[in-house]
Amino acid sequence: MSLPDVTQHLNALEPAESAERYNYGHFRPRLVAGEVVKTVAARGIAPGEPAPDFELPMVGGGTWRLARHLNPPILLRFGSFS
Amino acid sequence: MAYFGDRVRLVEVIVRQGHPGPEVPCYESFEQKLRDGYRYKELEAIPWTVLVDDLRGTVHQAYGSLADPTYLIDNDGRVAFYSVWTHVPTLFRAVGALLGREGLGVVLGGVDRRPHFGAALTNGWPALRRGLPQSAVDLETSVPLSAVGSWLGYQLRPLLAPVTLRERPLPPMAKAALGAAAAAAIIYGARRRTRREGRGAVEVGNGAPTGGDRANGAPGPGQRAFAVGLRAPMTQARAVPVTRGWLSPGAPEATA
Repeated sequence: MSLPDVTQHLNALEPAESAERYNYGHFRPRLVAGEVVKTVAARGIAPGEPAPDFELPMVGGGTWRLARHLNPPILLRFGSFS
Repeated sequence: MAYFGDRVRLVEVIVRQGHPGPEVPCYESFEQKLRDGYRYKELEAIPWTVLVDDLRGTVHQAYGSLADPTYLIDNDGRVAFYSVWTHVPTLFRAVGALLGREGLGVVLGGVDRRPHFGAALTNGWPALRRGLPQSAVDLETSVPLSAVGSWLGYQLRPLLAPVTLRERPLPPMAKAALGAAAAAAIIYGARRRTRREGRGAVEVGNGAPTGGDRANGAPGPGQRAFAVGLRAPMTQARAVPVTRGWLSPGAPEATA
């Protein structure tokens, strides 16, 4: 899946949040409510669907692209510093 | 996941600040985010690959912008399984099942959406601590007792970690024992509470509830006192003006 496909997939999920809204300044109850909805609806890439390809900077230098690292299986975790 | 060695690759993507605070404000530049990626890898001594998403969280949003997910991607680049709230023992089973199928296909029904908070309760405090005091205040006002619980869970880490931070699923006997212990604790607590309330009714009502119009069911003075006696502590607890002092209405709100 190419980068334009990632954008298309993103648009299919829901309208993308702006950088300002995505990077909220305070953890608020609306975020909790949103997480409840996402959990109930199991929001995410449906099992069996292609995982959207991406290329991101790597801590330590260089970039990492998903499509180049398939096999063995990948555990892809999304985490936060705080 | 050390058990699987190089038969599975672990990659982590740093996304937005989960619990911003004075020392970890919401990101305004990619450089901030990249710096935190380095700090995270160093502070937590992370041996696996750490990537940094762009400022808008394009990849995070493409994957559903969930709070704490982990995807298992098969050899063909398809989602084999994902845990909405990362639960290592379940992922352990999923990886084992996927490897048993030569790394292809959907495993364990494809998704685990159960809210697993044991690991966050035990190990979430260090991340929350980075944004103090704002991070704890915001979390506490959004989900009461969760910040306190996080602190307490971290203090009880030696006790809780063998269960909440385990890598492998518990054996059925251990699950049954834990379930029985939890049920016994709940029953014991409920019985204690019932006994205490029974004693409270006698004390507040100065004897057995009396009076009232028994014909139409209206409560007498003793019964009303009993009801007030039960409600008073809850009312007082709710009346603490937490939101006024803690939310600081003048604080800047970064959301659009």
